[in-house]
Amino acid sequence: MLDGRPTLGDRLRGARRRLRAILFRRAADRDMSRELAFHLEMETEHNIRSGMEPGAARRAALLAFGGISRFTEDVRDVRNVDWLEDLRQDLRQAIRAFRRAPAFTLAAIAALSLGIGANTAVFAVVHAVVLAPLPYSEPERLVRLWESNAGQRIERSTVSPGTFVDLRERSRTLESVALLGWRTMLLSAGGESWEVGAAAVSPAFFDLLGVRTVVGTTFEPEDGKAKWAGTFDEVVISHRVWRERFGSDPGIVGRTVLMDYQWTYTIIGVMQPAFAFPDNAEIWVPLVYGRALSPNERQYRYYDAIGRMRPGVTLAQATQDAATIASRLEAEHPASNAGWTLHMAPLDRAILGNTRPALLVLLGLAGCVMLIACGNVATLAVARATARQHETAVRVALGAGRRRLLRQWTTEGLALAALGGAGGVAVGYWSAELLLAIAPTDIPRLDEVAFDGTVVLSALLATGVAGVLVGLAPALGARDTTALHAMRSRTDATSLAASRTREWLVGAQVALTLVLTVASVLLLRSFERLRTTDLGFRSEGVLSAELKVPGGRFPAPNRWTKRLDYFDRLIADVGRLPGVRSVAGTTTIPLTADVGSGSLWRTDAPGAKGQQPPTSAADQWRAAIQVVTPAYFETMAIPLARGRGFDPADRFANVEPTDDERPRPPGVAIINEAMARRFWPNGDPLGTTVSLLDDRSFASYRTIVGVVRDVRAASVNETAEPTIYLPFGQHPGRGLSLVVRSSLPAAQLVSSVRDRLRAFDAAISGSGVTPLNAIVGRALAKPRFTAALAGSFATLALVIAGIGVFGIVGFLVARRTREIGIRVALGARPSSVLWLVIREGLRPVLLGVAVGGIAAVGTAFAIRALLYDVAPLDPASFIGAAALLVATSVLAAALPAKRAAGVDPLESLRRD
Amino acid sequence: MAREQSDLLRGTLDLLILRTLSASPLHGWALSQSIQQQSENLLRVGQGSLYPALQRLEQQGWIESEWRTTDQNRPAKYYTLTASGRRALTTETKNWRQYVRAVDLILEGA
Repeated sequence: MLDGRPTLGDRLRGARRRLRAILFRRAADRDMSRELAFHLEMETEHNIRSGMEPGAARRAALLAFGGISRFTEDVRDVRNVDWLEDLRQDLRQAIRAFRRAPAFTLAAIAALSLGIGANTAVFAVVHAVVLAPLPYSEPERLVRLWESNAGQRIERSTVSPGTFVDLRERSRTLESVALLGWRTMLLSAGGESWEVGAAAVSPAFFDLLGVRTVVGTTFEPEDGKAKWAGTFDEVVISHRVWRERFGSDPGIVGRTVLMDYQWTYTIIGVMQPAFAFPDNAEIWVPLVYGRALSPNERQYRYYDAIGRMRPGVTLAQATQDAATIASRLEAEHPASNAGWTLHMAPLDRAILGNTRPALLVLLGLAGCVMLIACGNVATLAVARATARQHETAVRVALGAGRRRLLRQWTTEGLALAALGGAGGVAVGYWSAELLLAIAPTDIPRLDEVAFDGTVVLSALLATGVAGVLVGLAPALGARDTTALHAMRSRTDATSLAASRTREWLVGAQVALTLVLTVASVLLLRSFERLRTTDLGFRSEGVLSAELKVPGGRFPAPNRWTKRLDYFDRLIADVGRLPGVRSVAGTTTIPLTADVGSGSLWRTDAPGAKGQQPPTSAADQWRAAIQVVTPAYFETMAIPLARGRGFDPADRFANVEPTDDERPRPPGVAIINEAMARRFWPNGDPLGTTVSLLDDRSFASYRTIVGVVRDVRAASVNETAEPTIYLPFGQHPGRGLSLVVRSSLPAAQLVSSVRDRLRAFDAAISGSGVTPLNAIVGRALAKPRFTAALAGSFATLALVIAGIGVFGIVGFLVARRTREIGIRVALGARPSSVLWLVIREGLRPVLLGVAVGGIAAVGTAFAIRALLYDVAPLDPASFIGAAALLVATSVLAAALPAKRAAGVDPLESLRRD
Repeated sequence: MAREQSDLLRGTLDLLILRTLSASPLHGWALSQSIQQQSENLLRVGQGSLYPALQRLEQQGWIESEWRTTDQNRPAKYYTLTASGRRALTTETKNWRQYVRAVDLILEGA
């Protein structure tokens, strides 16, 4: 056939050539360069021959060279065969480019690894703690319930059994409701005793969550009966306890255990693995309420409550329904329910509390770090693209389409991001471990944190975003690249678009960095305020010993007398240790647990008579109740404001409960200033007599004999609640923990106190002997964690942004060396040159500060919930952050600017 | 539309290159000059089209390239027509003539 179809030999030759072109692309490029240069020379000579000036001849030749008609841009790069080959080529090209610029490549990969790593680590935590649904069936239908009382300024109170029973019987929106109580108990089985977290739960609790036993059953349902049919001394144990303490004995059901050396319980079931709700509970005991309730069971708001909404019911509907029930209860039981209403929140959010906003903020900040890293790498990439303009122009001259070039850049960006992403996964993995190691242990669900597929996927996503950002920026920056630039002098080979893109990128980095810096300065200042907050007591030199004394130590009869005597002896015994100045007992140690609260009223309130509460709910007060021994205020260094403290004489001769007819002796009480302010805004509480609802078996009423300064007992960032202190000698209803003040450092005393406790009573669980300082530190762990993490993100961002500014100014200087040389030659002083360069370098910085300032205002309001005693628009934080950023930028700009100031005019002019 | 036009032009340019090289091997610049002169300056070939076209033709096996020295003793890349290039020239010329005739017929008939 005599047509133009190539013969097999031609084809083979063509294919071989193509293969060579692919394999030896650099050689092919050089070849092409030479050929084009030759063409240009010939054209120039031709122009000279036709009578042009040499300069004009060259310009005309260049013009003709650059005058590529529109359609060439559409012509595919002729060397390309298909997209896969394109990709391979692009990758090879990218790898070669990376190898040619190792410093750039390493810096870019490091920046991206850090950015993506930080993001991935925080995401791993947020994913498990905040985003992943609770591991129960249909968790979106689970709610937590609270009672609240606006009149008594109680936002969130635990729930009374009465309210619970009525909700259970009447709610049409809640499928089931359960009460929960939690405490530690001493469990003895097989000759061993150990402390366990014990939850007392309604029988409906397990079905409500949708969890099952692996062996045995759970408690008999309450079933709306007036009186419950089940037995109280039954216990369900966790899978872990079953495995670790009972060797996974399949015949466990029916075995008995001793609780608190006192009660015998029968094991009836083992829960499914990993189930430990609430608060890492290890055993569950029944908490049952039939329909028949005593009046007190409407008063005591003791328990946590959870519910499951019926399918299809929204939170708003359920809340509305609960509020309706609450208002009916107000009418039916005014004495206990007036002013009280009900509200609820999704269970997962309720479990997280304040941790959720903190973690989301940290995720946002980590995202900022990643974007800054991307911006930084993009800036570097633009600079490199500019430097590589010659290469680019040659490729355009060869007919490489714009799309083709764009793809090449994006491929390079993606390749860079992929390397950064791989580094990011590694950095993320280690950072997540680090994060878990330093995270406050009271963040819920931390044990569920895993570096799983979703987390890796998030890293991949971040990598993709980084790749596109890093790849597109140089493409934008080099959009006016034409072949015209190719033959221009290399040192001047920069386009306006590229430098503008760089400025925008630096501006964006600065803006994001400012947002980060402001947020972290606000958080750090908040933490500083928190740390230096006057807690109302002095923790230095104080050791706290949280004790669990088994109830079995005080058998009837005369249980209260025995307890009083036991703690008298224990306190005296510990007080004899060398170095101990004073020892006191208290029912709760500040910052460790909820202080129990109760109702009380003035004995002269209308309707109040003996143990009978006043008729008006407004006259029923609510206060935290703490029982202490006389040395407590002295040991904790809580100053007395008025009146007197407790003394050993504040003690009843007989503390045993008697039948209700016999009058109890009157007792004494001390209140805090918060209580004095709340209930005696204008009067003097001293000498007033009050009755406490659950005090009846000890004292008929109590006279207030003193007022002490406020103590932040619940948490560091909440002001003191109204609190009433009762002397243990008049109220030995519960066991005590100890506080010990010594002249030695508290840490030195830990082991001697622990030994003394064991020697006193081997049944005491002495695990809770801790310096009070450590307890305060633990209470500050969450804000410290948030502030420290935000601070390190901000530092990282500042460094990265500083590198960005350093880069752009260095680039400016390199580009303008000649101009600077002329200025110096014309008599410009080095200082004015320095300033000129810095000023130009700072332009994008100031732009970024302006934009970032606005964004930071929004951010500050978004993190308001995490701030303490610092206004979101705290001027010092904003000015400080901006100043820090500008100072960093000036420093980063000064280094290359100094180089500019030292330019030798002769040298610079000769260089071209 | 733009693509069709460029395909048309590309095909034409290939034909012109093949025809010009059929006389003697030439380097790129001489090739463009030759086309320009032969067409009495009506056709100018920009480098942006010329070199990709040369690449393409070389890959198709219709032309071959080789570095030689010019009359002035400078290295330049010379392109030579191959046997299959010569066959292709014949076919493409025939196609072109048919095409022109067809267009002419329509233009005159209208």
